[in-house]
Amino acid sequence: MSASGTGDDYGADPRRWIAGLCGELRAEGLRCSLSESVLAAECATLLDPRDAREVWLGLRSAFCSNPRELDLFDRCFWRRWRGAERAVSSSSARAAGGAPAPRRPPGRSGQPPAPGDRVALQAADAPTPEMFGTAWSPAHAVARRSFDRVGEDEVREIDRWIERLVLRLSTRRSRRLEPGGRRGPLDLRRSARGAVRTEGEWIRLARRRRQRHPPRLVVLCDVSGSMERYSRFLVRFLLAVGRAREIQTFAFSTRLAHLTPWLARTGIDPALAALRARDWSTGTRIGECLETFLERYGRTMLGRRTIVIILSDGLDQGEVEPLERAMRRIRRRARKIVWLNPLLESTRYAPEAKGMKAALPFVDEFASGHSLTALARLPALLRI
Amino acid sequence: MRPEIQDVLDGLAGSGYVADRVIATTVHLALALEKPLLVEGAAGVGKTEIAKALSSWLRLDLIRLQCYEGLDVYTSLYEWNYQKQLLRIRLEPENAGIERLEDTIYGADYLLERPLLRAIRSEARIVLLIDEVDRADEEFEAFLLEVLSDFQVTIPEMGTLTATSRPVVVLTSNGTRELSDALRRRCLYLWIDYPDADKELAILRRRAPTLEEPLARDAVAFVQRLRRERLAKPPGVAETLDFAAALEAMHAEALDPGLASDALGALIKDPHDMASLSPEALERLLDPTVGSSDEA
Repeated sequence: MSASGTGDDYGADPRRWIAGLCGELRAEGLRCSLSESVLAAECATLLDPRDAREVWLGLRSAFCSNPRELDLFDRCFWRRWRGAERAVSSSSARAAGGAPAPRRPPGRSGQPPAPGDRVALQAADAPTPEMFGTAWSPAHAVARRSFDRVGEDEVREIDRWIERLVLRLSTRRSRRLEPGGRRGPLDLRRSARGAVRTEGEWIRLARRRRQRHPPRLVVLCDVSGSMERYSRFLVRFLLAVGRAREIQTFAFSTRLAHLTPWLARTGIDPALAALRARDWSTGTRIGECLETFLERYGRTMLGRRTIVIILSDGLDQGEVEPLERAMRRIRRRARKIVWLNPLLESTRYAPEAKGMKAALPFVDEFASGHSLTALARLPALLRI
Repeated sequence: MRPEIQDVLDGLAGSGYVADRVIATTVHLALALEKPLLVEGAAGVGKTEIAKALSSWLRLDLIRLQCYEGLDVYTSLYEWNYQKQLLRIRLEPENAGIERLEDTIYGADYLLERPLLRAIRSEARIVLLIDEVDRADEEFEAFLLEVLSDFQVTIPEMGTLTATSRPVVVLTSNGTRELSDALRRRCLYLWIDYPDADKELAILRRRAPTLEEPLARDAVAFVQRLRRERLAKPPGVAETLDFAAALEAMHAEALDPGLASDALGALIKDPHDMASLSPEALERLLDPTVGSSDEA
């Protein structure tokens, strides 16, 4: 097809056009650094400028680097190629500099939302002197209290307890071998090296052992109604435990939200407040939310190193079938599923709710996670 | 369209690979810029086949590195031939000097080349296929990044080796793990989707030329609709080819629910998917009067 409008602009000066496109992509939240635009400009010299389709496909392979970016790129490219009027409006935005990412629902593009209250986060997270004083003790009264009976004024205190509780967790060993140990497979390379010095006699045998590798955690938290409180502390706890490890956090009720980008910017409380503001805490559709998770994130986030933690009371308003289907698929793709149900705290509780019943066969560990003491048992349960 | 892109289309077609413009454009760029090509897509859409087709079209040798968790330098780059080294040490007269001995047994004669080193030391240009790179761990990815950026490696005992000609590099990934941005940035990106009906039919014609045309059309239409079902493992092109071969072996003339059910094992590799495809479901999938637009 022959180009017109801004397509002509492309023909006149591809480099300039690409630089403009780069700005628009960035404004839409696509990571787009100098190296991508240089690569794209190199590609442009090898493409027929009169062939829109060719330019589109060529530049796409330079700018995109995962399947989720393709749609976004296509939209930006064709908008710029076809219509001059909208290109003008976004170029004025670019002229303003910085190209701030617009507020968008989390998860779709993996971009964090607009920055929130960072000061509050620092205040909450900064270690205070008294934190290093007393050691964590499960005997402490607050440790056994269920989170839904924790007063607003005690939230910060519990957070500090969590900091104290941060256990040095042992990590899983990976299949990659590193030198060392006494029992692992022989390290022929080092043994042979040693044998050179002993006239070819293998006197000291060097060995290799499996490296330690932390598992990845995917946490799916029910934030409907009373569950929100428990979810908040679980997330807070896991963040403290796993500073160095990879944790992906999601909140769900009737819909699913990827919390991780928010947590990085604003911390847990503003993130939950933002969800509340969208009128989220009404009802639960676990099955559908898990299916959404599988569709959008399952491929990249699940794997042999992944432990999936679901916190919910299992009182599901959705259909049982999607829940069962999703649980089965997660079970197959992940190393382990841990279900935390605060209702377990009560000795009289039996998992009678149909959602909970449907999910249980796929659950490896079923625990309550309702208090600090319960959370403290989590690392051992996860064997992380 | 640039003539070079047409060349890629023709060249790949000549090697039995049915490419479309998406594939041809990116391959053209990767070849011209000497950049690695990162191919992603669902299982069975022909990611690995691209490397094989390139090798056969360009008449270059193919060196393949299959990745897995725990893959390390020993198995991907080089290893010493310990048995040979040991024999040499035994044959050495006493007090011959350790340095001289080391020079000998850590020389090229005692080196076992693994795929990456073979690719770098190859005199002729080659196609290097790094298959399922997402299976390897992050450490290996970092190492790969070094190799791919200037095609040289350092062996402590021997020094630095640099490739005489830049290989054509194809990396494939099934997306089971997010690859690092650094690696992605080194590469041109190609996402291969399931083929549409026309392309799949073209593939079938090329790869299973003896299959009767009406049956090929039926099979493709069936597979295309099957992919729109919510399956854990949707069938790839390789499965379509198996399915077609199975139909042919059964001397089928047209596809009906009975035949589809008999040959379904070629398409469906998951017990729960299999269970969800009841005879009624198959009938619905094979019924041309049930619109496909409402399922899309």
